[in-house]
Amino acid sequence: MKTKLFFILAVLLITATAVKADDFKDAMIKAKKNLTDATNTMDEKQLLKVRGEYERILQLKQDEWLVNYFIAYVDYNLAYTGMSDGKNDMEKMKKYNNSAIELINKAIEQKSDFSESYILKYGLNFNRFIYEMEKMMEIATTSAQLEQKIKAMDNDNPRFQYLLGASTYFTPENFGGGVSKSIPIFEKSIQLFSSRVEKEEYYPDWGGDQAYGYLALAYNKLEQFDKVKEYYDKGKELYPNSGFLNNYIKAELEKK
Amino acid sequence: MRFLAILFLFFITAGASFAQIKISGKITDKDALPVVGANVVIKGTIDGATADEKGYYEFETSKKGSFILICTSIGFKEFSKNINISNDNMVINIVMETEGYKTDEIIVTASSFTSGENSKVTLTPLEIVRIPGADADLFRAITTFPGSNQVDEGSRIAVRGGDPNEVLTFLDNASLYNPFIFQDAYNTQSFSTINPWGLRGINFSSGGFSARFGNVLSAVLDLQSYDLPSSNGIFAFIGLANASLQGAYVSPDTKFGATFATYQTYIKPFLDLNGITEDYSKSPTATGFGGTLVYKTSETGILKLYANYDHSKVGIRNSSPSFNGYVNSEANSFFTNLKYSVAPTSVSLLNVSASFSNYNSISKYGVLDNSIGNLYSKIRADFSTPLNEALDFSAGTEFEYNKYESNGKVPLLFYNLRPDAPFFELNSSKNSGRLGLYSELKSKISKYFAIVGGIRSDYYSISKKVILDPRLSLVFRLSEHSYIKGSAGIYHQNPALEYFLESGKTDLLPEQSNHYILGYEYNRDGDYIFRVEGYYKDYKNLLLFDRFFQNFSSSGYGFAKGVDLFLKVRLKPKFNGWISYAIADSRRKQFYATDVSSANYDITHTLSIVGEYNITERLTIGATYKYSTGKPFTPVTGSIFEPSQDVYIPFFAEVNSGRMPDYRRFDMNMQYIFNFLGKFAVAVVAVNNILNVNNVFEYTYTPDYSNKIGISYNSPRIIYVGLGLQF
Repeated sequence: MKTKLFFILAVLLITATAVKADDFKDAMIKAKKNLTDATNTMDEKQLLKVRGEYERILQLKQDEWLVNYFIAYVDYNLAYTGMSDGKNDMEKMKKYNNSAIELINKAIEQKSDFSESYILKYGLNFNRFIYEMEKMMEIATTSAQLEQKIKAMDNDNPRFQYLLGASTYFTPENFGGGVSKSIPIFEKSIQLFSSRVEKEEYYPDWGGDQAYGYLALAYNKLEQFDKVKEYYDKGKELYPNSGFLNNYIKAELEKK
Repeated sequence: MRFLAILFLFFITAGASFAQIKISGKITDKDALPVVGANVVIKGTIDGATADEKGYYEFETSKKGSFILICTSIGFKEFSKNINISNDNMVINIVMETEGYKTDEIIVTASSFTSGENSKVTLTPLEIVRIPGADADLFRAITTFPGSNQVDEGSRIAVRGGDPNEVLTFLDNASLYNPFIFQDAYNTQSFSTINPWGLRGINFSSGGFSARFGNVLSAVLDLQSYDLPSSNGIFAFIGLANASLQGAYVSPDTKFGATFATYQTYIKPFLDLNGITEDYSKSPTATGFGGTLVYKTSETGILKLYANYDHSKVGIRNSSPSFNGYVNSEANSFFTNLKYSVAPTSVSLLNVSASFSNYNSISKYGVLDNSIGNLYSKIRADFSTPLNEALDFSAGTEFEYNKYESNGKVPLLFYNLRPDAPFFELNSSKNSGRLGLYSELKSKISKYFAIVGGIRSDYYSISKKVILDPRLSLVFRLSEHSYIKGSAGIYHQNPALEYFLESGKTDLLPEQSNHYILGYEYNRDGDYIFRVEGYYKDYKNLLLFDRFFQNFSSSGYGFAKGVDLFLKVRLKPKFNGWISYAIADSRRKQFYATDVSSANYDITHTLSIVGEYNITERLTIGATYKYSTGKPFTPVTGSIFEPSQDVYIPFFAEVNSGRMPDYRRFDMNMQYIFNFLGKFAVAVVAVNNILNVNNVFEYTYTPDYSNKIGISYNSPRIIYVGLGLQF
């Protein structure tokens, strides 16, 4: 009888542990879905809700590095809510971007071999040009160091190639950047996105729509409109709900 | 049967725990405003919610018993509360407290102006090189800060009534004693040889500085050069009076880097354009080159070699009462520093450096035909580590060797400089050693209050004196952006070797100054800065020439007191400007003074107004206005003819009893960025002294001293153009 009782309690305990692991996975998948919706609309309230979801997942004390990564990523997006639609809320950009940097540093401290964290940090560091131009030298040095590190760790990461492309796109030609130079990098990025399979459903997978969008924008600047249509349509086909493509890129292309 | 009962009990308990309880409430800040997006969660669970735009939250939980409710939001302190969840719905309103000021490290040092990576820097490197009238010269830029004055139109600076030689320039922990060209050239402007683009950090302290710095009485300019360059590139600049070339290389693995910089001056086109008709035997020319080699020895270890060489020469006509002829001077300066930095632990830092500098100059004028050599070498080590969260410790040591030599002919009588005048031959040298030790503790007592206490001791080999300098700085944070800062400390500086040589004495004491500083600062991220600071300094053991015994002694004394004001406004991205004002009273009984009188650089009022406006993203226009009270001088009251020498001997009034006319200057510049042959290019046009004011810096006299003649520099109004190109 005692053996039976022990067996049942053991089963209950194992089930409880499994439930906890499932809780984490389920919560991460749910949060990820909400995050995708929120980034598509770039609605501040929705993003704040998702931020809260991830913060609560931290309570499960599981893979905290990944949860911190996602909170940082939400803040990365929240930072842009201060700059969209012609707004120029530097304070908001600074508040969320600095918070994201703090969190991504924590995530790197917790797990130093997760290349995605360095990639996000690379993007966050680039944002600092917007509100800390006076620290141009320091930002450029950090950027060069991160670039080297990521190239050594995960050069074929499509998100890295996308950010590299965006950095090249916005850098003046005189300083080694330019629209033309960004195109092969964006093309490499979308090629890498097409074959990329993430380790888990709830792992980072953002950036594909942005790579297509910027590629269309780059060709638009070069007035190669057949390429603009090709990449914009392809992007829409792959990411039909992308707010970035449906709103920002569409509006930019219509300006022409 | 008993097993079934247990199982039944388990399901009952489980079932009961699944009953949902609603927890809701409102989250506000202290002003009752909603904290939108605040996150509420039951600790250890994922049960919680995010506050909506009115601050309301609501969630359901199946948990029962004692738990902790946590609420978090960016910019607020974490809120936590013990709650007991029973069968009733709960309403929990939360008031969040703002987090305070965790992001910025507070800078404790009073009287400090900074540039570099700190968020609260006073000026960025870009702002420094663009100051109109500063000619991209770091030292001239610093004179737009309160409390510092240009000595003549050159680069050397005098701080809060002190002499220029009481300012120490520190580069990567090495002392830089001759960072100027044309500094010994009479009637010619001196320029700094430091390239501001090569600096990642600049900290100028006009008083109350750290125990790290020894053998300096008034002020410290602490510079840090870049370690590894951030990218490869070459920048060439060609101007009306000079050309320069700079380059940087960093290896693909970012383990090795190198930079170089070279320049050449050729002022003929500049003189012609500005109609300057000075009579030169050698027009002023200067050449310089230098650079860095950096190797990353480990994750934290960096070995850096810095070297720089400058050569300058000039021959200019000068008229003194006894002789009218060319002053010919030539100078060579070499400086090198090898520095190794490593972090022995994740939080500590060790810097070890060895530096060497050699400066020699030749001056010829009439009977004067003299060469001076000055050699310095120094080894230094600095270590810093936090002892705990509230306490940082740093300590260091340095040994400095200095050799001074003077050779050639020097006039015997100051009033007769003719080539056939009596002279004495100098062929002498003197050397000294100084050993310094310091230790400092910084205590962050709270986020509102920090204090730094330091002590340093120096031993000087000639006087064999050991000195002890305690120093204290504190800062009290009044609000997120405002501070009260104060400093008090004792500072010593040994008399220059030439005085030991000249006097033949070994018991000249280190000159002493006690600094007392109190100020208020408002600094909003470097965009809005307001600072007011009062200071009092008393001096002891100043070098005094005793006319009775015809010898030097250390019995001089004096004081300096004043108030500095600084206001800066930066309206990104269009406007940037600042106003500095200082009122000072500096009196000393020093050198040839028979009583306490105005110090050599007792400048009562100093005002600088600087403004820059970006007309477009590519076009910037700037203006600087400077005003200061004329500096003191010792007037000649009469003369007597000395037939054996066929010259007049002047009679002087009390030391520094006269004043030069007030100084006024208005400068403008314009920079335009554009594409030139597909390359980044910048064009610069500068007009200095637009109002054409004839600023007088010295007086000379007719041979019988009956008439005073003002000496000013070059043409009052100066136009300069230049073009920079990046490859």
